[in-house]
Amino acid sequence: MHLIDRHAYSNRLRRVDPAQKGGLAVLTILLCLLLDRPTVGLLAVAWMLALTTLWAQVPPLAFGRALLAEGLFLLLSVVGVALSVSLGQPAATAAAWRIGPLWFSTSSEALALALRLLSRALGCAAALNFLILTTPLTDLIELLRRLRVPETLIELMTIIYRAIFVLLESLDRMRTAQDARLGYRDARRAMRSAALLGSQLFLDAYRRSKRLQVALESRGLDGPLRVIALDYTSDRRVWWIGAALVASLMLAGVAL
Amino acid sequence: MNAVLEWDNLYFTFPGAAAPALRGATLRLERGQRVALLGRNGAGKSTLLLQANGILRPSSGEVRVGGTPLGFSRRGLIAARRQVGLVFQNPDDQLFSASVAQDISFGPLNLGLSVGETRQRVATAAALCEIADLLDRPTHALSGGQKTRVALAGVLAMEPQVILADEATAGLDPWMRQQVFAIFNRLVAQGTTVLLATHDLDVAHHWADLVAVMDAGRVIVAAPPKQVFGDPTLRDLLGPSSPWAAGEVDTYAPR
Repeated sequence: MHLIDRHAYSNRLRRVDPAQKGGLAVLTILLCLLLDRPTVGLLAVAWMLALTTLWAQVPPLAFGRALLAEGLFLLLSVVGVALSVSLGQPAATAAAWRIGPLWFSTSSEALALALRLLSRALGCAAALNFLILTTPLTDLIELLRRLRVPETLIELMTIIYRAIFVLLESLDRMRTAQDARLGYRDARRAMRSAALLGSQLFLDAYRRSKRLQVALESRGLDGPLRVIALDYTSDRRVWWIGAALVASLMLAGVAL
Repeated sequence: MNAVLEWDNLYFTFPGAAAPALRGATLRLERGQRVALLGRNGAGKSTLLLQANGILRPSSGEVRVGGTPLGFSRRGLIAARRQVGLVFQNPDDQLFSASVAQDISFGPLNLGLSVGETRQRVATAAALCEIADLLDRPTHALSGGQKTRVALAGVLAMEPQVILADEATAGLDPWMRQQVFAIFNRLVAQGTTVLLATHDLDVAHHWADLVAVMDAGRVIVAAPPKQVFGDPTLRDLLGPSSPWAAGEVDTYAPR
């Protein structure tokens, strides 16, 4: 959370209009889904890695770690597609293994499908990584506001995003206080302390929400939470990058 | 002289509480005054401040803002909140947006100002609080003192006549506290009234023109610091501290 947030606020594309960055990401996702070829997905990953690290100057490690986490998760979910499990020996498979009474088998079609799913999902994940590593949530909320997402949702997002950090601080303080009184010295006590912490954090959030309400009313809260729009620059190069991106993905989808 | 804010004989009991929090509280603030509001925990300081802009409604008595009785209609409340700005002890209770600039813009937009005027107000308030360089930083990346100044800027952007700060300098280091007082002094020079509810008797002694002391829901004294700190009975009420300390440095020594 903190890691992504830090890069989002300090990368070189911070000032670029979130609509442009969002546009690039959405285009990539759409092409990955529509063309649905392993090469397209992998090419999209390469593009997004390049844009994030070379253009936005986010360290490759940050992008890599995010993608690795997503990749492992995706890998686990496509295992089920690639492998079939049966009680009897399956017919016509590329490979089959017997473990106890169970037969695990795979076929070339199943492998191809798994690869397609994996690369498509990785391409989409990389596009979202590019977006979240270059665009802070405040800018994404601003983008949604411009796209006329209902006011209530925008307000909820604004307050929840802020509350995450406020409550994290609370959580940290409470945990330290418990730890200082040996609240985590063994597993049983740790369980009990964590449960207490959870309920206290809930109360803390509730009290904070009341104080926030008073503070906002004092500043004239009267209907929706209104704030000024943020300033961005529009980068012309985005159009060229977008065009090159679309052309290369299309070419990969059709030709390869 | 015309009072900018008056609490006139207020009575108030919190719902479900056994004893009233305010019992006939009266205080009058004038333009450009530096006021310290003292009183032990539970004396009713915060309750008094929350009456000033209609967050709490007295069961009897009247609040007058710029001579006009505070009305509890929508229009009356907006008028009161335009004139009276409240700053809270914990800035995290006040800052709702992760964008500093957007948070400061909240109050002026609620006053019905245009986006252009609001941007102007944000810039002016940020300059006054010396946070212009923080405007596009995320709120959660700021230090405590920076958050305090951002919270203050969010209130100043509404350009109120009176600022009521509830222990806004508690927990800040002396250097940062000095920065906040520099902002207060600039406001006072412009004619704004600044009231600080505090436990810091040194501040009350050196900074304030008027020291008000609350006890059990009443303002028992409102006088210049010299008079307040010349009264030994108040010392017994408020506790030992340096304004009285001459010759009594062993206050905490074992007997």
